[in-house]
Order: sequence, then C-alpha cells, then structure tokens
Amino acid sequence: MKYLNMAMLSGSVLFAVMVAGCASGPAINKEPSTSAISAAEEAGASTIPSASLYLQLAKEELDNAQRIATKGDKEQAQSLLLRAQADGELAVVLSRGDADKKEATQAVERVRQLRQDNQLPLEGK
Amino acid sequence: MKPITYFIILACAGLVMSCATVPPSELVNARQAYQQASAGQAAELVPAELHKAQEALGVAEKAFQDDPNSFHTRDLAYVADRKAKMAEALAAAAVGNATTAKANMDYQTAQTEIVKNTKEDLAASERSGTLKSQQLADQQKASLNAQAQSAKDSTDADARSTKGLADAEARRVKQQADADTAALRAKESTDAEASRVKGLADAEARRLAEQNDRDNNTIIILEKGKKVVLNGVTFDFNKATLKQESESVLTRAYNAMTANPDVQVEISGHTDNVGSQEYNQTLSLERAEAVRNWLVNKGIASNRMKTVGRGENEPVASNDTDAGRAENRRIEFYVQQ
Repeated sequence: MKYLNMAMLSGSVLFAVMVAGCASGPAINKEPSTSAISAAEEAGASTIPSASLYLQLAKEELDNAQRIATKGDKEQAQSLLLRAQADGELAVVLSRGDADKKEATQAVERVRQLRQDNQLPLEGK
Repeated sequence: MKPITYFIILACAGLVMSCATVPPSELVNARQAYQQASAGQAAELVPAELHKAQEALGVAEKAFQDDPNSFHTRDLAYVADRKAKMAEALAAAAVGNATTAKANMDYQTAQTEIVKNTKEDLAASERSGTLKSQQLADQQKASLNAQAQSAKDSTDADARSTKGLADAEARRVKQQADADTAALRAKESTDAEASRVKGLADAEARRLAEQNDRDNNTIIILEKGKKVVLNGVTFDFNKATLKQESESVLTRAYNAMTANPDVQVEISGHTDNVGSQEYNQTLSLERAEAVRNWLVNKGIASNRMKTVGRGENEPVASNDTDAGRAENRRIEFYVQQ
C-alpha cells in the first residue's frame, strides 16, 4: 500500500510537470541578445553617444521580450529578441568604429606632430 | 445605384488596398538605410556586410509580401535596418582603420625621413667638421709655412746682411789693401822718385860742389878790354841782396882785383825780361852796386869800380826758358883800358 501511494504521488508530479511544460511551450533563446549586449558594454558603448542609444534600445527590447515571454507570447518575444540582438551588435560595431576613428585621429595627429617637431613638410602639403 | 454610392465603394476598396500594401515604418527605414549604405563606401570596403544587409532586407521584404502586418515582418525589417547601419558603420570603421594604417605608415616614413635627415645632418656636420679641421690644418700649415718663410727670409736677410757686411768688409779690406798697395806703390814710387830726385840732387850737389871746387880753384883773369861773367853770384828774388853762396865767386873776384891793383872794372848788372824794363834797369843797377859794395867792404878801392845797370837789354841766352832766363840774370866785370 505504501509503495502504491508513492507510485501514485510520483506519477502525479510527473504529470503535473508535463502539463506545465506543455502549457508554457519552448523557452525563448535570449543568449544571442544578451551576448551582444555584453559585448557592447565591454566595448564601452554606454560612454559612446553614437552607440549608447542602441545599447539602451537593446536592453529595453530584451526586457520587453522577457515580459512578453512571461505573458506567454513566446513567438513575439523571440522575434523581439532579434531586435535586441541587432541593436546590441550595432552598438558593438559603433563602439569599435568610434575607437577606430579616435585611433585614426590620434595617428594622424601623431604624424603631424612628428613632422612639425622635426620641421618636415606636412603630408599633402 | 447612385454615383455617390460607387465613389464610396471605390474609396473603401482603395483604402482597404492601400492599407494592405503600405509597408511598415521599419521596412521603409530599412530600405532607406540600405540605399544609403550601398551608395556609400560599404560596397567597396565591406561588401560582405552589405550583402548581409541586403539578405536581411530581402527576408523582410519577403515577410512583408507574405504577411505585411505581422510583428515578425516589422522585426525582420528592423533587423535589416540595423544590418544596413552596421554595414555603413563598418565601412566608416574600415576608413578609420585605413586612415590609421596610412598614418602609421606616414609615421614610419617620417621617422625614416628623420633618420635620413639626421644621418645627412650628421654626415654634413662631419663633413663640415672635417672641412673645418682641414681648413684649420691648412691655416695652421700656412701659418707654419709663413713662419718658416719669415724665419727663412729673416735668416736670408741676416745672411744677406751678413754677406753684405762681409762683402762690404771684404771690399773695404780690399780697398784698404788696394789703398795700402797703392800707397806702398806710391810710397815706393815716391821713394823711388825721391831716391831718384835725391840721386839727382846729390849728383847736382856733387856737380855743384865740383863746380864750386873748380870755381874756387879757378882764377878769374882780368884782361883789359874783356868781359868776365861772375858765374855763381846770385840774389834774392826781386831784390839786390846777395845770397850766401855768392861769396865764393866774389872772393875769387876780390883775389883777382887784389892781384891786379891797377885794373879798373865796370860792374854791370843784367836781368831777364820778366817785369817792366824800367824796373829791371833799376834792379840791375842795384845788384851791380851790391857787388861793388861787397868788394869795397873787403878792401877794394871804390874808385876802381864803376857800376852800370843794363837791365834786360843785353841777354846772352833766350828768355823763353828758365835756364836761359837764369843765364841772363848775371853780373859782369868789364876790364877797362
């Protein structure tokens, strides 16, 4: 009798889990979005005006996707995560582009200074 | 059916159709973003990224055709828009990287140029230093040469001066020697001449002595009607004073007058033609009287002697020579009858 009760309990729990799983559907994949956002933050997008906007959008879109997923519309949530990923990746590119642009500016300035200090003709002049 | 009814139906149909075909703003933005990216440098610098944007836009367009109003269509269009912006950003980053690469290359070029210029400056400095050193060495060499030349000139000048002094001394010595030689020769000549003159004088003296001896020993012969020249009676110049050497012949005249006490003589004086005739006339008389006075003083009676001055009127020799004029200056005894 005791074993019968245990078996019935386990079966009930398993059934409940299976029912719950069927009710919520497959989980949303947030990893590409969160990775893009993390990469953007590491690239310093939050301090770069041109990139900070897209980082902020990516974070908001991620939050909206989670909220929508929580409400049960996982398909729309997953679709919205595409936006978050795209904005996160764009924030990364803009951050790196800004760094490249600063590096280019510094390199040009360094050459100009070097030529000026050594009384050499400036490039293109 | 009224026309207004058709119009309303058509408007509603158009409105329905337009609502069905109007793309969402996300798709419009995506198209515009892709258009902008493809018109820029993305096609050249990041063609792969532009291609991804194109594919994303294609997916969005297909979704729009399949389900224009779905949220998934808008999300896909949104992603396409971001892909286009990403391509443009990557193109800008590529430009920045190219700029950086070019700047780095320029930096290296500038550094190379600086090193080259530094080497050239150093080489020029070394050349300049070498040139200056060479110039300095040349100057020092020239200075040393000048000093050596100056020393040589000075030495030469000293040598010339010394040589000149030596030559002058030699000339002086030679001149002195020549002078000494000349003096010696002159002295020898003078001595010889003196010796010769002395010899002549001695010879003349001997001759005169002999003549005196002969005269002293010669007896003056007083013959009546004849003239006797008293050779050896001499007077001072332009005077009627008898010289000492005249005493010898006067003594012999005294002896002759003593030896012939009866004889009377005329003592006549004669001159050469130097001077006026009147002067010579007077001088010849005075000299004749001087002879008579000498004889009177010796003791001969004055009345035995008569004096007369003949002047230059009766020369016995030529007055053109000294010898002739000396012979004309004379005292004569004329023994009267």
